[in-house]
Amino acid sequence: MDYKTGTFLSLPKSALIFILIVLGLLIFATLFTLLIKNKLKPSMSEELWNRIKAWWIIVGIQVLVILIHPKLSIWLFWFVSFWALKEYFTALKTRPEDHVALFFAFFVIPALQYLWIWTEWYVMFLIFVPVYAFLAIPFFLLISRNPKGFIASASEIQWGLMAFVYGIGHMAYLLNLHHLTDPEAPFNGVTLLMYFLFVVEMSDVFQYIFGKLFGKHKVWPSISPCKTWEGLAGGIITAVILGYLFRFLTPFSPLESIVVSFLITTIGFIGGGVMSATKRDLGKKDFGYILPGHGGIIDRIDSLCWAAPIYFHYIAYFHGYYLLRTGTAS
Amino acid sequence: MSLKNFFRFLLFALFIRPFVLLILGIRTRGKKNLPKGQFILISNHASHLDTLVLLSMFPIRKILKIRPVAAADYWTRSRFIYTITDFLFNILPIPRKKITPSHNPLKIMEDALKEGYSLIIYPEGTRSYGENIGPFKPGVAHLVKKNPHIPCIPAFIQNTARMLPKGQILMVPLFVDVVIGEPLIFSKDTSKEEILNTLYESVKKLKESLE
Repeated sequence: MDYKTGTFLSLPKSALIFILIVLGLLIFATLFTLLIKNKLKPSMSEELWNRIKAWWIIVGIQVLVILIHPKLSIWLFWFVSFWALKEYFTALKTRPEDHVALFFAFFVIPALQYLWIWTEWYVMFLIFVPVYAFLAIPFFLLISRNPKGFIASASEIQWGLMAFVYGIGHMAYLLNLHHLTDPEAPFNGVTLLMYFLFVVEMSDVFQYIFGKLFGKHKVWPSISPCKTWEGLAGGIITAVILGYLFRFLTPFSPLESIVVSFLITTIGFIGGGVMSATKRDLGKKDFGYILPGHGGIIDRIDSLCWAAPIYFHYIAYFHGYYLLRTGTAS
Repeated sequence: MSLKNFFRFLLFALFIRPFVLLILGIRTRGKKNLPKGQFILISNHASHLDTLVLLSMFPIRKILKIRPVAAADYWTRSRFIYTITDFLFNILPIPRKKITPSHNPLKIMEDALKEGYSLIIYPEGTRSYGENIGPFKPGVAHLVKKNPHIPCIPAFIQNTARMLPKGQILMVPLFVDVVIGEPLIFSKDTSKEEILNTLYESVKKLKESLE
């Protein structure tokens, strides 16, 4: 796909088919909720309704941005990173001495990281946060000349950057993986990203549904009280089936699509657990309340943060020919 | 609408509102407590962001009828600063020192109320360090006692002290949490001490409701 003239008309047909399927699913879910609304408890139907509304907003924004220009999504991910950092650092008990370091963590480091993504500087994208940010943040903490709480501050800031800038950035970089694909090919960076978001989010949705319907045995009640083995199994199996059916968006073989779907949903589940543990540690139930029924943005992207780097590097390793033309990778 | 107000409207609609929505991201509780008519908003004060935050609770049309009460010695110390803050926020500068009958902060605020403006008052009289609420200065109680028909709205702002504390120029864009309390209407024979105490306690209660 030629991004210079790239509009939705130049998206592969598979992407357009996929968008139609997702919109269809949403309409179906909305109608279904309307139908069963009166049979449920009011609190339950309100929760369901809020979730459906939130999905319309999430899918609506994403589809709109991709239709305007696929690379515009990079800006959207930057904003998601920014908003997640806001929730994370607001929940933390930061010291007044961290002020300058926090300023850099909010404005400078994400801006540069997304600049490397936008300009497709592959190596810099890979090392910037784990190496350069890691070296720079402690330096900014030295400015206050107060060693009390230094290690905690340095680690907390670096942890936030790794999860919400580096992790989320991998989804944005997927959009660059369009090199060497034949314009007629049914997949490119956009469809690879769609596949990833779809499989991981569907796993979340079906874990919720199966958990509500059949959930009995808790996985880790001290970390997240609603995750059950029944929900987990149902969610992952459904997501793997969907991943197998939707492999037309990717270069994966049938077996590969099963392996990849299983990998990203399992790691996504662990990501959800990690963020729940973070919340419990800070004594919060939700990170915020950006969308009704969904808590904060971190509550929505927790599994994506963890699964994105793994998915990205799977593709880079086994289908690495996409990266060849970036000039810096080999 | 005067020309000045027209440009203020544009500035708020095109720049300040988007900035507040996308960068600051305010989370409000008790927004339903904001009255339709005239009011005196009482809040803690820890950062220059506070005024921006409180003003963005209101529709832009209404902002033009609100004046934040500001320390004259600080905000009119240079012509440049005064021009900007006057244009942006329509501040009402009052003296903190050298008060004379003709140069009386109470009279300035009463005149503004009579002109139909609503006021934002920080009774601590200065920005506090951190989130602790400092003691309230008694001036606000005099004003409330003289104008018992105007409801007082207590508010508490959290996190602005961490975002842009006193003495810092870099802003860290955490979320701002604002709680608005129920309007307080005092009867004519409430004593000044009681008014001051009630105002202080209601702001403190809002702070505790966030914890």
